Amino acid sequence: MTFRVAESYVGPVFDTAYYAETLGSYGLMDFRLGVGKEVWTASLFALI
Amino acid sequence: MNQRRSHGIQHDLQGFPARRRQSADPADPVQPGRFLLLRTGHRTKLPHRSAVVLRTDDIWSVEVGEKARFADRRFTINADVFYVKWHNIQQLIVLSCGYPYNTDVGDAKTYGPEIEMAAKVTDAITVDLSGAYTQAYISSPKDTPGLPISSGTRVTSIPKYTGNLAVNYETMLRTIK
Repeated sequence: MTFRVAESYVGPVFDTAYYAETLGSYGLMDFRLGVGKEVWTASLFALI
Repeated sequence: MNQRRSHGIQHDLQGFPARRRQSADPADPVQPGRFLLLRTGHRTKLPHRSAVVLRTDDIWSVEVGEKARFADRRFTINADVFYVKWHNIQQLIVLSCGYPYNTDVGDAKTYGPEIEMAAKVTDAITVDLSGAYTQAYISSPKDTPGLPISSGTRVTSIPKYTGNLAVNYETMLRTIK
C-alpha cells in the first residue's frame, strides 16, 4: 500500500492571451492512495 | 528537472524537447558525480497558420551540476545551474488593436539554478523536496515597428519560482488467511 501527499508551488507567470498580464502564483496539493501487487497498482487520488 | 510545468523545468521551452530532469529517486540507477551537458537544436520551415513567414530558430543550452548520494543512497541531492540562449524565439503577442498572433520576437536568454533532494527517512517514508529559480527574458528584441516587446520582457509561460514537497509512505499489507 502506498500513500503520497505532495504540495507543488508555481510562481507568477507572464502571459499573453488577449492582453499581456502576469498570472498569479498557485499551489496544488495532491493526495494519492494506492494498492499494488507485482507490476499492477490501483490508486485513488484527489487534487486540491 | 522541472516539468514544464514540473516544476522544473516547467520551463520546458516551447517546441523543443524538454531538458532531461535529474531524478532524485533513491532507486535512480544514474551514477553520482558532476556533469556537464551542452546541447543545441535547430528548426527550419516552421509551420504557421497565417501568411507570416517565421524565421528558423536555434537554441544552445549549457547545464552544469552534480548528483550526490549519501548514507547508502538513503539521501540524494541533484543540483545544477543552466543557461539557455534561444535565437529567434517565438512568442504570442497582442497588437495594440487587440489582434494576437505568434511571431518570432528576437533572442531570449534563460538561466537559473535547480535542486532536488530525496531522503528515505525510514524504510517506509520518503520525503522529496525540489525547487528552481528561472530567469527568462527577451535579451535582443527584433527590430519591428509596433512590436510590444522590449529588452527585458519576460518570456511567457515560464514561472520565476517553482517548488515541490512530497511525502511518500509505502508499506506491505498483511495477507488475510
